[in-house]
Amino acid sequence: MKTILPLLFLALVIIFIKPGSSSNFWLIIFVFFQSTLLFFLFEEKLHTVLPRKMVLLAVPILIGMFIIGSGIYKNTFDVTSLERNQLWVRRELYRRELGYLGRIGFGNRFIEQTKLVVDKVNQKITEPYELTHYFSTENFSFYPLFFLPFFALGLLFMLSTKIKLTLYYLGLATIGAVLVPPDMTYWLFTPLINLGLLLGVTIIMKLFKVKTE
Amino acid sequence: MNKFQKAVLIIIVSVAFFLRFYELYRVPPGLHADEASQGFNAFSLIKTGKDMYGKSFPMLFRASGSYQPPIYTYLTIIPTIIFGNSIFTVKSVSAMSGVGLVLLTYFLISSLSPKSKKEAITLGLIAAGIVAISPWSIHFSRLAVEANLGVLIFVAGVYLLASSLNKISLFPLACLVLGLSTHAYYSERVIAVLLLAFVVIGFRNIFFKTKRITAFGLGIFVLILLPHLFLLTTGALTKRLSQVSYLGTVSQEKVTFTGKGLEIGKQFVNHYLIYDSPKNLFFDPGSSLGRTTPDLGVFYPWMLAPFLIGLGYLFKNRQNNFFKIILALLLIAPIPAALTGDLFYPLRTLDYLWAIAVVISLGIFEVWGKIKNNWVKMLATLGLVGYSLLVFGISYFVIFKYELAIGSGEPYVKLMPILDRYKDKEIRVDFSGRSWGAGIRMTYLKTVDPRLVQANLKSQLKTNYYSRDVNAQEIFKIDNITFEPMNWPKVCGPNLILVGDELSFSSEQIANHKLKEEFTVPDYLGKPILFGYSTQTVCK
Repeated sequence: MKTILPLLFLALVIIFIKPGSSSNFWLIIFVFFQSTLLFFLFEEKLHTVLPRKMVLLAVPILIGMFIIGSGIYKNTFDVTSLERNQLWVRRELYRRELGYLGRIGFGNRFIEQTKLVVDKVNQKITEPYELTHYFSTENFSFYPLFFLPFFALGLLFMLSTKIKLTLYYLGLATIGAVLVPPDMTYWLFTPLINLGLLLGVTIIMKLFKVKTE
Repeated sequence: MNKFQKAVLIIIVSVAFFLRFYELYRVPPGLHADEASQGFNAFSLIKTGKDMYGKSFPMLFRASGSYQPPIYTYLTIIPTIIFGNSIFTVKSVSAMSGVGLVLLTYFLISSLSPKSKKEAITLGLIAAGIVAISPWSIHFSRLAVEANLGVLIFVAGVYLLASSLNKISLFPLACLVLGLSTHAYYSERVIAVLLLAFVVIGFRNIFFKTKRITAFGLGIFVLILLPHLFLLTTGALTKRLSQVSYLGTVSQEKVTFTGKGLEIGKQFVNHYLIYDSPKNLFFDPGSSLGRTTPDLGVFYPWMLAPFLIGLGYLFKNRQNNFFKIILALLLIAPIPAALTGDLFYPLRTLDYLWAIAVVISLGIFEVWGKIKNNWVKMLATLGLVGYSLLVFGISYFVIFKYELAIGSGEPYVKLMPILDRYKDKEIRVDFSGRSWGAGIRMTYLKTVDPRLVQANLKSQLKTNYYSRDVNAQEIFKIDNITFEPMNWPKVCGPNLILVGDELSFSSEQIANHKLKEEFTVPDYLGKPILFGYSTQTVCK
């Protein structure tokens, strides 16, 4: 019962994902399975049901399948003519400002190679870190605002008790975000939010129980 | 504190000082209208005891169609006496506040954190280091913004307030400093009140035991807030809020009370969440360069991981009094900014950003404790600090000035020596939204006699000094130079020089008025940005 109820919650919470977030059957399956795996990972008591190492391995495998299923996005490093123009202008600035260092290519190499890659990757991975995409009063957000306090509580609980696991999943989801098409990046983070909601609700229920006793 | 720790603190403060004062007169380029107003008001107070409108020692300074909190301007009197009127002078108060915040962060964290003495010092040094190199702190320390002074005074108030939980006699002083912070910047008017209420109610077992001291402290706080109440009746206090907030727009759009309430609630929540988004804090530089530096967020991207670790640590140890205050600050501090319509405006949330810097340092401290090898610790520190400063240096000292120069009025600073060549002519500089602050900027940098400015601006005052309606279109006059909107029927005669940008003069107007190009002012890339013309037409 202790396992079934949370899983039922994880399944039910998907119903609340707003239609504006363009979900489909496969995305919902991914979110549900990944949320379940995370639940098994975070809930230490369940390690006898599914060994921890197995879950630790299953999480990236599922993300890998999600990446393959959504198709690897090959245009991450494409440079638009506007960006090319900006880079050209900035290269001139480097030459001017850095003097000798600029002439030997220090600034140029940095701006043209490293910076471009970093910028493109940054653009790709930062979008899913926008909280209002998941919770806000606008239609584009994934969840109704009502869930936010539960998520905030759950997230704080996750960060205070299972920081390594949280960072492990965030790291994997971030890598995944670089590889999948831009509109798919949010779905990689949704399972963690589902788990946050579950933990938040659990904490509230425990608090309520203690108070009523 | 041992010798090594002292040396580290000296290095951190020196780095903070260098990052805030290096080429302060040149980067960011130019001088904003608000900065120039602060500088000139300070100069005017020294010379006449009155501001540029002739008001004796105001509680709010009227400037650029709004009002400025007073403490920054009053403090600018000190560097003005020492250095005279200059870009460096007006920014130095903010830069010094930035250095002060680094030092204060060290003392606050090392004395209030619930660690052993040695650990507390290490945590204090980390926190000071994080504030010293954080893009937001350097960026706003290099602009003459009241908010940067506001955060220093506010954090001093937080320090005293948290200390008063152990030593109640400090409570009146904490109230005094928190009260003062409300006169330093707008955000503190909300945050200081809410934080004080939270602490007094949250720790009522401490404060209600010593009712006399508590009442005395709160009395001081209310007393310091009294000028705000007076200003509230004039409409001057809320002038800035009405300019930047969505509250007025919603009130006009929605008819029913419930509709207004719901819409305001919706706007507030959405704006509040923007300040909690890791994307805005650690990655996205935003579209306006007045808010951040090119390609950098208010914190470096690598700080996200320690922030999450620190947040977890903070929550786990939330029973500790000091951590409770930091958690409360994280919740309270974005409220004023969330009441405004901008999507992400770090200037209004410096107290919040400071609290986040503390959380990041807690996260780093946690990781620090896990690393046993000192060489790894040293290499990791040098690597991260080196990377951060390299990225910041390139963004700020190379690109920033090129991409902000026009907005901050840099071409009008370059215009000044050129106009000196035309002392025998009448010069009219086109005044529009594009040349915002051109008049006050030149008035300040040319050290114009404040009495002349007072006479000129006083004659243009259409309302009381403190008022809801503030004229933003005042005409400035400096000797032979007038800053006013272009009046084409009056453009004639051999002694007239017209100055404006490319939108000020159409090709038709140039042809009709037989304008002859006298000079151009280029931007940093060499593109002409301001044009000076003489006219050949005869006056009728």
